[in-house]
Amino acid sequence: MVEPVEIEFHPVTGFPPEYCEFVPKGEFEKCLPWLLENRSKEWLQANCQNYSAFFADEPEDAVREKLEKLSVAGARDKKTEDGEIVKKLPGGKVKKKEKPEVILERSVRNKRKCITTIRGMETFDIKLPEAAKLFGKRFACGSSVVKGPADKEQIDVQGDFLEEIADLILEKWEQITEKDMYLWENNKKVPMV
Amino acid sequence: MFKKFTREESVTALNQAKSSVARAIKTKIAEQFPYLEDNGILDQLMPKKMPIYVAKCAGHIGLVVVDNQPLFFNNRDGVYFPTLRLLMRYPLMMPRLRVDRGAIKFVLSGANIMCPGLTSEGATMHNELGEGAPVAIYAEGKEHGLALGMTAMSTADMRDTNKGVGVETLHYLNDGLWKITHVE
Repeated sequence: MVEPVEIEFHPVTGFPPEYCEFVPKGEFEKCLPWLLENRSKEWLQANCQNYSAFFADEPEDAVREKLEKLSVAGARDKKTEDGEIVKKLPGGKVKKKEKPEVILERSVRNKRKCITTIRGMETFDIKLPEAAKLFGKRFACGSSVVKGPADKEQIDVQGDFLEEIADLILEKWEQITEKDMYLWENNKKVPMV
Repeated sequence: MFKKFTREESVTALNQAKSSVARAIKTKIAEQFPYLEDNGILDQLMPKKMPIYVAKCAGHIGLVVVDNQPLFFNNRDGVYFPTLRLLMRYPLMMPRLRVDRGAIKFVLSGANIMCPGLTSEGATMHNELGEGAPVAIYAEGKEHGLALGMTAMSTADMRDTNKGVGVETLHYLNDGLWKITHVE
């Protein structure tokens, strides 16, 4: 009978600790506190060779070894502060936070019937099914949440309620202003105001 | 293979295997990994009374699940591979190859293993293998395995040609399957 090898996983990454040096850039700082606490310096030097430069970067070479623990912890704090402002994607690209906006569109079907489509409500943390129900009730028409392009959900309202819906949205949800509303005309986004 | 793999999207059905099917799976695994059988690990992993579940997944992948833990996977009813977590627990269960340090980061993003990474100084070939054999990939200076793959050429060929893909990576650290620890 062979007993299984017990492996300790790093709580943050879920990796065996020895592979922590290979996590995406920027993530490594999050691993450090645990590693410093649970692993010896020799272990770190042997298993985090990718970051030997990182260790060396700190203050001065002479005191480096003694200060290693402190300075690394300090560097980590700095990095996390930055991390909150710009979210870094793996690969070092900076992700811009999307501006919340609502886009209204009217499309014609069967020549005389219309569908009003509302996109982007979720960017205001509005629950789409609730909103859809409200539209249906107010305008006495069919209204549903459907999958739109790129797997985003949108609300389809049967009938031409472009202006009415705009007014209703402004009235009902205070966080949405006229500036956030756009019309979709001829494949172009046109500001509502 | 498991680069994009999630419990919700990729697992299409999870069924308890009939006892005959379960027996077949078990014998097949025992055949493939005599180490498990000889050391009585297999009976520990899949006790007789424990039901065996088979999860059918996207891309013709079958996942053997016991006690909510995925243990083995295979493709189109082919050879079985242990999951990486299982391999870590029983490192000696299958043939091994070790890549050099430079290859680690590529393997961890799912790249196939190229011959130079297996023949250079830091790398070791623990076992002589033919083509199409399941193999565990270890790394220079690291204790645990980091990937599982199928050899695309024999180890002798790897040494001779020393070019191109040597091992096709199927399952690696931090891919979709790694992240699934629990299947219900």
